[in-house]
Amino acid sequence: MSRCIQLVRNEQMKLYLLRSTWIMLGILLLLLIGSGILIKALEEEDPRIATDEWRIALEEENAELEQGMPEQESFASFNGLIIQENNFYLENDIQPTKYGALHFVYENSIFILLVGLFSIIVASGIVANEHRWGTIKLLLIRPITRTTILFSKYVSVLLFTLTITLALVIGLFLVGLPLFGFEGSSPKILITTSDGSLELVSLYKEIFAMFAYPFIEIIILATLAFMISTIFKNNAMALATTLFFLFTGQQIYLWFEKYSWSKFILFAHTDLSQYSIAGTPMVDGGTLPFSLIVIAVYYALFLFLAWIIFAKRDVAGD
Amino acid sequence: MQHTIEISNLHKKIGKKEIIKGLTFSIRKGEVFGLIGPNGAGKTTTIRMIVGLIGITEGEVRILGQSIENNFKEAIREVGAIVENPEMYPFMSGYKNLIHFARMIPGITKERIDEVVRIVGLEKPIHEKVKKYSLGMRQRLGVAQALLHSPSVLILDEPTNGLDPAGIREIRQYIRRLAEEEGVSVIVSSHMLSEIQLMCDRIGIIKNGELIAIEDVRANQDVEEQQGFTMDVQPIDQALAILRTREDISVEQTEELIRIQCDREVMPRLVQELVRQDISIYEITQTKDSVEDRFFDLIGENIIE
Repeated sequence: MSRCIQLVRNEQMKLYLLRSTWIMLGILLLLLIGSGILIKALEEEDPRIATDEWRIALEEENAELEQGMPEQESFASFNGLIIQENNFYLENDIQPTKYGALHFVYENSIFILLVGLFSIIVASGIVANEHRWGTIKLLLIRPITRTTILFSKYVSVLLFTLTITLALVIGLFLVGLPLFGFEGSSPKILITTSDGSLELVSLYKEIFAMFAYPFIEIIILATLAFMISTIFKNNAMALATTLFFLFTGQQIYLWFEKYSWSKFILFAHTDLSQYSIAGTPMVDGGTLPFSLIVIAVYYALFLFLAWIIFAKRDVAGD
Repeated sequence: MQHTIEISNLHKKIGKKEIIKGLTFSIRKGEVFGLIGPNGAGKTTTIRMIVGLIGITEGEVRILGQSIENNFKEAIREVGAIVENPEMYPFMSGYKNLIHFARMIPGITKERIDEVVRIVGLEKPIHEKVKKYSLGMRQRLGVAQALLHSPSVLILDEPTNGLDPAGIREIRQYIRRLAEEEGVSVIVSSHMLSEIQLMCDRIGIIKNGELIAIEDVRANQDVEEQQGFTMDVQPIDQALAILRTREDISVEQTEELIRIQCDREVMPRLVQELVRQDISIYEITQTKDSVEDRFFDLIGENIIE
């Protein structure tokens, strides 16, 4: 076990000594700051929201929105939603939580896609690169089983994904804090449930959901990339294939939706937010346990294939 | 005599093609064994099987009695190796590379890392990135990582590849010291007999996946590093008289020629001496020694390299 920890340390050392890792983290940081500045410049919340005059502020906003209702349908529905939300606060006499760093984190959860991209890049390289550098030979002639070597590399991918996800959340909060301030204790946010009604929920819980659901999806895709990279020793191939699935996975399900076997397609299940109060299941009559089983089967298959091939393979010159 | 590596009836088949066709040999403690043969003869494949990088189709490799297949961890513990090229992580310093490999085996201290760095003479550039290293420096770093865990068996695939003559001499002295002083068994492979001949005790000649001969180098090489020369000089008696006054060479007369054995470095001084004494030199040639003759006979000169 302690040997395994040393191996994970090795993998982390190599990862963070690669310039490409720091380029990824740098890009992420720049985008966060950019997003903060952009939102600060575009959105100016009525400061009265945070005072006793919040009712007046909401009513004024409603009047403004109703007057200037634009022709375009998309804007209309967006404005309509704001009016609906404002009315919810007014009718229930609940003061809305003012905009702050936590809202900023929540609104920018889309950046988790970038985390997914980086995680897949790392997963695609962690075994293939050793073959490319020729260092795989030096790894495999140590008193350590190939299973342990592969396992430590996989753990390293998970650790990296978790690290950059946390870095993203903390980074967003730290960028948001000086720009928008802090909401205060027990911030709430309104969400639209699947039946169209509004529900007031804890902002912390919502932030967790916004990052946790994609995180699960990322782990599954990173595992897929890890498997392809391990089997084919090819970085680019693993990256391209997995990114293709990342962007088209659910589309693939929709193409085959009419066939009964389509419910076993992995990408119909990876987004578990379909079972939250705001979501609708992709597969007719789909349930959370069914999705979890499908995910688990694929996940186990990916790891098994990677392992069996890595453990048995003849490592000869390429 | 104690054997550290025992290889018996080793076969490797890839698809239908048999690449290694039944190798059997053993290596003693403290012995340097050269595996020599033309490119593609199966040297690297054999080495890959010995260290467990590729599977063994038939036969067995035992290191200190442990089978590399059935007791991989115990067997490989005693092995340090460079397989093919001395490839390291180019984006890390030499030192970080060593730390990396040290972490993979229990019981390697910081002091030991510093020690191997000293042994291979890389103190100066050890904190520079490996991508800045010359091939010779990489080769040394490769040896350093192979020595970290003080293995009983050292396997170096083409260790002289890309080294200049000075580098080759250095690695030769170094390998001899390891074998003689620390009792390490060493396998070196090469396609150039001349480069490894002087560091080996025995040489196995491999061709088309078969071990066609094992030559004992040390036995017929009484004085180390001495080479044979043939001289065509006139007048021959006078030249003989001059040469026989020196004690660091052995001289004999064959027909109209003089055969001498001496250090290569001595030769220019001999020539100066002869010229000063008004001896006419028509030709001096270096004679091939017996192992080299045998090698070329067995392999066929034209297919070396």
